[in-house]
Amino acid sequence: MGQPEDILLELNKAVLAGDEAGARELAGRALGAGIAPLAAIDGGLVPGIGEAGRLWDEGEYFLPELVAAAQAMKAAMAVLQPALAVDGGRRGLGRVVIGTVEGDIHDIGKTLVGTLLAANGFEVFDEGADVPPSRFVARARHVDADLLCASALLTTTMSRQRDLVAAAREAGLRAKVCVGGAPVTQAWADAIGADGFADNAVAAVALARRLVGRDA
Amino acid sequence: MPELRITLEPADVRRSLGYGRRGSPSRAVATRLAALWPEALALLRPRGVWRLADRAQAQGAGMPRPAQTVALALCTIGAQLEVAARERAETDRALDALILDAVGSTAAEAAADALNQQLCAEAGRRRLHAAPRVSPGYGRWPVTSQPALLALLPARELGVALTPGLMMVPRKSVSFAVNFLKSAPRGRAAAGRCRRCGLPNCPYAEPGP
Repeated sequence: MGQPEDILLELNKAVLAGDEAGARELAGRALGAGIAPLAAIDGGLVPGIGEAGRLWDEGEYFLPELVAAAQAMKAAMAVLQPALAVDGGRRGLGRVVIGTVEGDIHDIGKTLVGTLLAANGFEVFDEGADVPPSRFVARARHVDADLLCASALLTTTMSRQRDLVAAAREAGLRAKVCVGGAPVTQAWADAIGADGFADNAVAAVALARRLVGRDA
Repeated sequence: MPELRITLEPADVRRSLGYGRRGSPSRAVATRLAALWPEALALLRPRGVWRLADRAQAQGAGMPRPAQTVALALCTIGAQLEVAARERAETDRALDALILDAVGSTAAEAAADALNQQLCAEAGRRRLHAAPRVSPGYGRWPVTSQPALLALLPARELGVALTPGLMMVPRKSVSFAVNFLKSAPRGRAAAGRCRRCGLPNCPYAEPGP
């Protein structure tokens, strides 16, 4: 294997298989073979993560496979990123500030959404759990975020999503607010004036793409 | 605080991760699960407590339709596993975090089962039937009852506290109650079949071999 198309195909397969070490190594080999970092991303990584999403949609992949693919993609991106910067950089799909609402300490679901968003081309700023609206807003303003994603895992904490929507509106942020979490529904999102709702990590990626106008 | 003996199998965790009969983990996921397994098991500290309460006390804790005698219970697997999961999540190792979280969920359920078994044995000793367990936040028992329930149990000694949002910390903790009934209600046996207390003619009991 040494031809650029072979390396890209292997890169694609490594992402799909969730092979983090392989993806990292192949990304380095791609650069060594003179493949432009953007070509490695668009020809190897993006098809791989896209296929992983398709397999999840079809029930062939489960959440761990999807997360493994996202991690493999991130590992390869870490190798490509410095070369990409030299090459003039790449415009991401958008900037996302994500966190679990104040009073709620569940973080695994939010982390998975953040991981998948990052693997799909978003720049993600993860604020962690128990995040007050003021911190969401300050971070969104600081990074000029496109999206604010807030998770809540209990009926007792989901009201903080309403507070976040109000705080974002009051602050005049341009960021759209997305909500999710076990007790959260589309009806709740509508009721609090959120811009979007997703009930799983893959749907969150599709929602984010749609909200930033990149759902092609 | 009384330790609980639990047995976990990787198959239980695979189910918690979403793999049913129709799927199995990829090589990458299976490798991580196998690699994390010894560490995850070593981080488990399953402990639990229970006490009997009367109807008035259970009502005070918000329990819907309590029997004359109710067992109130609380168990946890401790904080160490979730600390490890959080560390993985914060260092971009989301797959490890997901797997550790699934081990924790499975262990918490196993701890609740082990504690439940003690309650069933106690019910059997009293010639009563242990009904299926119920928890605040499920069915008609509002999660807002959680403080009142935990106030009836030595939660602090067990190391379990509530956040202002009424979440238990450690998160992998389970609070529940079990009605002790003079006769088990017919028609609900299928949901709770067991071989726990050996009470004769109980509709919850599994058929013998």
